[in-house]
Parts: sequence; C-alpha cells; structure tokens
Amino acid sequence: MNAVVANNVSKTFRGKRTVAALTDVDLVIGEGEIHGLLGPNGAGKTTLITVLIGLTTPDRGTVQVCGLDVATRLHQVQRMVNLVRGFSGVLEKFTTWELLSYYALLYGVPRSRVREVMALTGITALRDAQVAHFSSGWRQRFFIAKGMINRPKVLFMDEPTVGLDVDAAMAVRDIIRELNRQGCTILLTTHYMREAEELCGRIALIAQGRIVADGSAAELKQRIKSEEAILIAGQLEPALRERLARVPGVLGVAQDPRSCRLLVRDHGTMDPVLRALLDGGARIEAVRFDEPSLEDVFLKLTQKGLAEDQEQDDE
Amino acid sequence: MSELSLSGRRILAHAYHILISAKRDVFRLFDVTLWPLVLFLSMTLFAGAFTHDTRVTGLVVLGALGWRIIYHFQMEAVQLYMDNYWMGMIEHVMISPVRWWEFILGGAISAVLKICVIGVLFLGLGHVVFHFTVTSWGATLLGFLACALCGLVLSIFSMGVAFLKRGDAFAFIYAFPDAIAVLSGVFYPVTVFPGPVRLLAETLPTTQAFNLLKATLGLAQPDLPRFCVTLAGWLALAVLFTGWALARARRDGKLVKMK
Repeated sequence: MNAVVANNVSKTFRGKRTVAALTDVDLVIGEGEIHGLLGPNGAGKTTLITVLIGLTTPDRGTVQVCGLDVATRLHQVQRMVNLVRGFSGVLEKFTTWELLSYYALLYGVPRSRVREVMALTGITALRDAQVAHFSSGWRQRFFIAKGMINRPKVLFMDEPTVGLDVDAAMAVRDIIRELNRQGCTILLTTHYMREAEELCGRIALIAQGRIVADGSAAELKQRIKSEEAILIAGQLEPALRERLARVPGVLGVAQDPRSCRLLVRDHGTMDPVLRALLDGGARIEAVRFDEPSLEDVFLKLTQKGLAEDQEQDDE
Repeated sequence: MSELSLSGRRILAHAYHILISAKRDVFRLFDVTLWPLVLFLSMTLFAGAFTHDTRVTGLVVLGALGWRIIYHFQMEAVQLYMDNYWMGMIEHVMISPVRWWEFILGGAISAVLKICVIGVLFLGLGHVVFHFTVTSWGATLLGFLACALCGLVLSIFSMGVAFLKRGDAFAFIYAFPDAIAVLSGVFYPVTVFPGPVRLLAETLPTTQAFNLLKATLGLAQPDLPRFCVTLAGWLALAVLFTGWALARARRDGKLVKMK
C-alpha cells in the first residue's frame, strides 16, 4: 500500500500578491520509504507538506494518507501522522518533560511513551531543562521526540537538519534512519542534495511549485548521463555567470558558496568556458570535470541551482 | 481508548498547558493577582468614598467578579492558541487530532481554577474591608455561571478571529470582553445608554447575566428565559462563525506559521 498519494494538487495563495505555490503536483510515497523532496527555498516544499497533512486545503486535487482521504477523514489521518520542522520556534518556560507530556495528552498516549521517545532521541538527561535554552541540535532532537510521540505511520520532516552543525546533522540523520528501520514512512524535505542522496530511496525534485522529476538518485542521474559537469572553485560575479550561461554547450550555471557548477553538453565545452572565464577577468583557482550530481539534474530541469535561492535568502 | 476519552485527554492537555504558563510567567500570575486587585480596589474604594449603601458596594464586588469571570472564560483558550502561534509551534498543535472546541473546554478548566483564586480575593476583601456579604449563594452562583457561559461564547468568537487574523487578532481579543462588559451595564443599568445602544445591549446575554447578579441585591429584575434565548442565539452565531473561520484559515494556509 502507498503511504501518501497526492493527485493533481494545486494551491494558489491570493492576497496582496498572488502566489501559485503548487501546480498539478502528483506524488506517491510507498509504505516504509524515505522519500526526499528536494528544492530551493520558495519552491513549494513546505506548502506541499501542509497540504499533505491537512493544514492547508488545496484548491484542486486529492490527497490520501494511509488510504484515507485527507479532505474527508482528516481527524483519523491526524492520529497517524506527525511533523518535524527544522526552524520551529519553541514555547518558553516549558521543560522537555512538560512539553512532551502536553503532546502525549493531545495524542492520547501514556506518559511512558514520553520516557521512550526521550530515550530514543538521547534527551533523557534534559528532562527538566527548558527546551527554549537548547542548542539547535538538541532542540531538533526534542522535535524529533515530539514527532515520534504518537508512533506515526508517516512522519513529515521539513528541513530537519537546517542550520545544524555537522555533528548535530549527522546525529539527526542517524535518528531518521533508525525511525525508518522501525517502519515509519518519512517524507523529508531538504535543499541539501547530499542529505537527500544519503537518506532517501526516492527523491522528488520540486521547483516553482511543480514536481519536475521523481525517482531514485541513480534514475535521476541517468537523465543526464550524456552530460558533464565543470566545477570552478570560488565565487563568480553574476555578470560572469551570465556570460558563461551564453557559451554554446553550457546547459546551466549554479553558484554555491564555494564553487560554481556548469552543466555542459560534453568535454569539448571546456575550451570556450575557459576562454569566457579569462575574457571575463576571472581569477581562476581550479577548474575540473566532475561527476553529474543531483544538483546537475536539478539544474538541467529548472535552469536554476538548488543553492541560489538560499544564497539570496542569506544575503 | 474511546473517542470521548481521547477528547477528554486533549481538553486536559490544554488546561495543563495554560496552568504551566501561569505558574512560570509572572505576567500571567498577575492575571489572577495584581490586575484584578487593581480593578477591585479602585472600584470599591471609589464607590465607598461616595456612599455607605452596601448594595452599591455589593454591586461593585459582584460586577467586578462577574467581569473577571467573563474575561477568563473568554481569554484562556485563545491565549493558549496565540502563545503557540507566536512561538512558532502552532502547526505542531494543529496537526494533532485536536478540535477547536477542545481548546475552549480546556480553557474553561483553567478559568475555573483562576476564578476560584480571584473569587476568594474579591469576596474575602469585600467582606473584611467593605462588610459585604452574599445574601443568596444559590442566586449568586447562578449569576456567576451565567457570566461563565457568556465568557465561553465570547471565547468561541475570539477563537474564530484568532484563526483568521493570527497575530493581529490579539488587540481585538483583549478588548472584546471589556467592551462587552461595559456595554452590558456591569456596574449600572443599561437604561443609561441612548436608545440604539440600549437596544443592542439588551440583545447581549452578558446584560442578562449581570442582571442576575444585580437581582441578588435587589437592583434588577432577573430574566432567566431571556438570558437563555440570547445566549443560545449568540452560541449559534459563534459556532457558525468559528467553523467558517477555521475552514477559511485552512484554505488560506493560516494554521501554519511559515518561516
């Protein structure tokens, strides 16, 4: 059985500014899967999650979770799902025990479950500490504990490692794997492609509210098998990136904080790329061919890098 | 576990949440100590300075307590919702199998406990300082119950406003019970108002609830059937409005605080 099925889901927010957040989204998540939803900020990841869990009503389309229609059987669906968000705030003055007890009462589970989820996420020692004082890594463990409180069949994880340091993110990824081993289906949104590749059996790429591709990492990469990637170390000026985008054979340009990736048709594109770099006055530290990655798949399908919107947000 | 029992647990969850906030937050603690005392003492001392008629002091004591009852029964549930909204946790509550009326009933449990504290303060001080004694406990408790039911109906309305307006709803939610109390003749008869305002005031169940309290002092005619009819009318409107507001908020994506 499929854990989540979204059919032709569309959602437009109308207000001072009309935003088409989702357009004709189809998504199927098999039971027991970790399914990634990969896209830049503003692509529609969070909106899609809120539609799937019934917090937002779609304008069009249907959603089923564990075989139940979310529009008509929301109350039953809500007992079987839970949510972990990477940038949730937290109520001040509440201890771990008090907040988890509140959620245990909301889901009608015994207090013994609070002890279990604290043990599973390694926060037992912080039982009487106020969650608002936790570091982001420990806070995220708290939210995962909260997400597990009702033994959900489907757990929606919205950027659970965003803003975490390397160790904390690794610990969270280990917990996600363990949850999945215990039979929990997980929908994981992220804009970290390595995380998606590492954790997810299948990955849907979303851009501007549309699912542009869906499959395993290998299947997605297969779509650009014949293409190559050129990696240029350092930050390139926007004008130079535009110049590179116009070079014949360049299929897409994406800048992240450390390097600029070019998706190119073949090896022969290297010469005109180098010429454009030199003509543009770039100080080149290193240029090399790279294996095509999910970033390149995304780039090819959307003409936009995963990190670009993030970069704009950071600015 | 039956649905009734699960619902009962969710109602208790909300009461638990509100009471922890009250215990930890000085501002919330003032809600049952300092602020009501300011209202109580300013009004009773004002009345006592001009008259020694114990009915007038009694009107102030019962009116102030009735006003606080309406305030707490209206405020508790909405405050809980707003706290979760402001702290960015509202989606974690709203994806649970919670129903809107469970917020209201959870708030009512917390309101009962807070009103017990305020009631002891007001009636105790009223007796010791102003020699006020409740003449008929049955009729007075009926008046307080009427105020509590009115507070619950206002809470339902306010919940709808909170679903729709989120953070912007708070000014309205704070002002709403006070405006209604003033319009309902908390310390005076509604006949002091000009015609149209008086007509409006008479459609409010709160006016009838205050009349039940005033009647225990011989200062108004109790009209229980009228109270029941106006309360039922307001309840129906409140339930319809909040049901619509929740559906609208779901449609507009307002049950989530986005990044």
